[in-house]
Amino acid sequence: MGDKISRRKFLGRATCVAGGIGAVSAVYPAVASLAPDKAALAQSIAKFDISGLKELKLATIPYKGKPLFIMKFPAGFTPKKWGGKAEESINYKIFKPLLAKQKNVVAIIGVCTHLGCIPIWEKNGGKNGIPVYYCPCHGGVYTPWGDNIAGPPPIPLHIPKQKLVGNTLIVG
Amino acid sequence: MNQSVKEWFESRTGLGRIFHKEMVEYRVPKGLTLPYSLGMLAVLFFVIQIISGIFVLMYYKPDAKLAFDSVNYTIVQVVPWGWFLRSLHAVGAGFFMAIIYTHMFTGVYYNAYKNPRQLIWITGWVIYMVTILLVLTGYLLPQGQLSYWASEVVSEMPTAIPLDIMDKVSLWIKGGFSVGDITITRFFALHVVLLPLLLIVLVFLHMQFFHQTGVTSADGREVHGNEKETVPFIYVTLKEGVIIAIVLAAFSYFIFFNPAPFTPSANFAPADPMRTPAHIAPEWYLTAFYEIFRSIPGKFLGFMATNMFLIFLLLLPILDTSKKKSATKRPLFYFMYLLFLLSFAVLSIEGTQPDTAQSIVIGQVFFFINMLFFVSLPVIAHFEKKKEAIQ
Amino acid sequence: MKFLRSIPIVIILGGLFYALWSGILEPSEWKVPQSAEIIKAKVGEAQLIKEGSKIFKTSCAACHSLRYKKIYPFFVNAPNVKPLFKILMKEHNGFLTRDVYESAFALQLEGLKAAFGSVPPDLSTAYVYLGEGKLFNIIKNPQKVLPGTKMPNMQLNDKQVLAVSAFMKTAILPTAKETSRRHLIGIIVIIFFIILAILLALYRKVVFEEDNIEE
Repeated sequence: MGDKISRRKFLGRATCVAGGIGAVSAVYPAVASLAPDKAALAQSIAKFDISGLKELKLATIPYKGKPLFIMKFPAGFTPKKWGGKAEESINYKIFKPLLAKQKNVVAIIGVCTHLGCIPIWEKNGGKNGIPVYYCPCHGGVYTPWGDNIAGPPPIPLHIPKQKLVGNTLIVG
Repeated sequence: MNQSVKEWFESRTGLGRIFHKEMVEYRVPKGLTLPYSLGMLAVLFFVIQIISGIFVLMYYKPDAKLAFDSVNYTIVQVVPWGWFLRSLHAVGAGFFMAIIYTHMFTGVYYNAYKNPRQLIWITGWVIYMVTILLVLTGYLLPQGQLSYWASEVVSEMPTAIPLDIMDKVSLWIKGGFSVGDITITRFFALHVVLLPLLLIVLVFLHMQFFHQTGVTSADGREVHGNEKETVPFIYVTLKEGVIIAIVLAAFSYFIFFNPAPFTPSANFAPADPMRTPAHIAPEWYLTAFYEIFRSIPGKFLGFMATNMFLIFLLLLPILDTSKKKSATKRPLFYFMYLLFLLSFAVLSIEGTQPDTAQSIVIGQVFFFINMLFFVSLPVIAHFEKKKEAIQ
Repeated sequence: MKFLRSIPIVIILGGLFYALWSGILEPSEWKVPQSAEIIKAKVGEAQLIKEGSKIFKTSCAACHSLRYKKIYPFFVNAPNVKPLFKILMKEHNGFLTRDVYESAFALQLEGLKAAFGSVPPDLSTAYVYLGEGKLFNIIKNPQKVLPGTKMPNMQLNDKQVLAVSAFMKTAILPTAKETSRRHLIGIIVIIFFIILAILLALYRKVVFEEDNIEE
């Protein structure tokens, strides 16, 4: 008798496990179908010809469906205007070698880290006449290399992977 | 903890009790065989259609110029696993119709339309009608040549009735002089919203009605409420599970190896309002009607003949006056039933073939045999009563 | 006895569904000649697709588009059309939907219509709706299959025709690799359902025996 009960239990469990495996694997194609397709992933590379850029003038191109800010900085650009501690920030540490490598051109992703609005480039400055990115939604302020210096944004703007080949900046 | 959570919900919803009563304790006759599983299979495939439908809906575009590419390019070639979802929906529709037909013919075999089950039969008939509307509206959506001409022909159907207003009815259905953008969007709305909702309600009614009156045993005896001759439904689900697994294995064969019979090649040509394909036939589940329609001379007569099958089907509870249930106990009925089934199969197959003189003769002969079944029912009942009286 | 009675029903319904779903009701009128079939087996599908791609782009694409393969008729290279074409291609990742394609190049398509009587159709799905046999014969000799058509005979030999046909197949049907992947998944799924059926049958048997349930 004891043998029989265990047989019943065993078969019951085995059936449940098999059914469970089937149900879970049936979910897979449905979930997989929602993932971005190849064409969508192909957008993850953006190319830009930097030869026409003017100093401190913003160029915007789409990258992964969002704006990418590309800017040429004056030669010998220093962050001193924006306060003493700027040089220690993480973003500046990424930014500085890029300046040297890429003929003073750097691309930054133009999406506010607070709630995803697009910051506005204020060349002639906000309060102190210093050029900054200003986010109109909740008043976040960023330095030209993306450090958040005022308002609610929690972290700096993102600097994506990029390299310069000839005169073409390749992002992604 | 687990128990108290259960009680917390149960005391507030009572759903567990209903589920237990209808799905576990509900008693069905002993010795139920494959044909009795068809209802559950139909429900399973309806669920498959809804789920796969939701996923193909995410990429489908209801537009005369975009629909074709959204199905044949975006869904099938671009979306990861999109080919699988599309096959699931197309093959699923074919299986769904096959199961519905078999379920219906089983119902005729066991005389499931008789007192007190008339309402089960009538809701079943309405479900059949709604399902046909579902497949017809869905058929237009890929915007292939067959889609276009099937919809064109179906919406011209009302003009078979010789009334002046019917031309306007046809225009009203299409929303224009030919099947166009406006027809696609309205068929789309019907296909994805109205008809499925209607079907869900009807299926619930259908199930509630048969839970109320119970099922007869395979040899036609009333055993509902008889403890000795019935078993709790939960045991039967195990048995049905085996059948479901086997049907799903066959279903998988068509999805992964051979979806072609369910996605007709002629429908891969984009809709062209200026040219009808040389050989055009509806999908198999309507070819019987198509065969009747083209073999009976006269537009109106053909239209009426086509509807005769449907009307007689609805009238079965009235036509069959015999008190006996199940073909297993009625040899005469069994013989006529086989002729009925054979005529339906022949009409369905002949309907897929090109129009020839021979197919017209076949259509007329087998339409006559088909009708003979319905007409003979009162006569059979009369003979059976006489025989009983003698005994 | 009960069993015997169900046999005719199973035969009729089984026969019906077999006839409908096995494809025996759709004999094709046009066939690929035997000699071409031999060439096809000898050269191999991959090689044919490669050659077909070249032939399609140089011959067929003079008039026909193959949008699912991102191939468009020669008119897109005309100096007055090319700038617009380039912008559209970039905007739509190479695949121009029918509304965009037909609106943007309405003039050029109208020109083709004037020359050929009707716009040479997009061939993305042609392989399926024509069938391999009919497609082969149309490419080989358009007049034979479509009498009166203004499609010119491109004077391709059997191998070239097979190559074009093999390439057009890739626009709508999965590649050989993808097909075998699907078959593999299919085999796994079918085996899974068979195992599930066996498990359920065994479990049912034990449960029915122990709870004294009659069949």
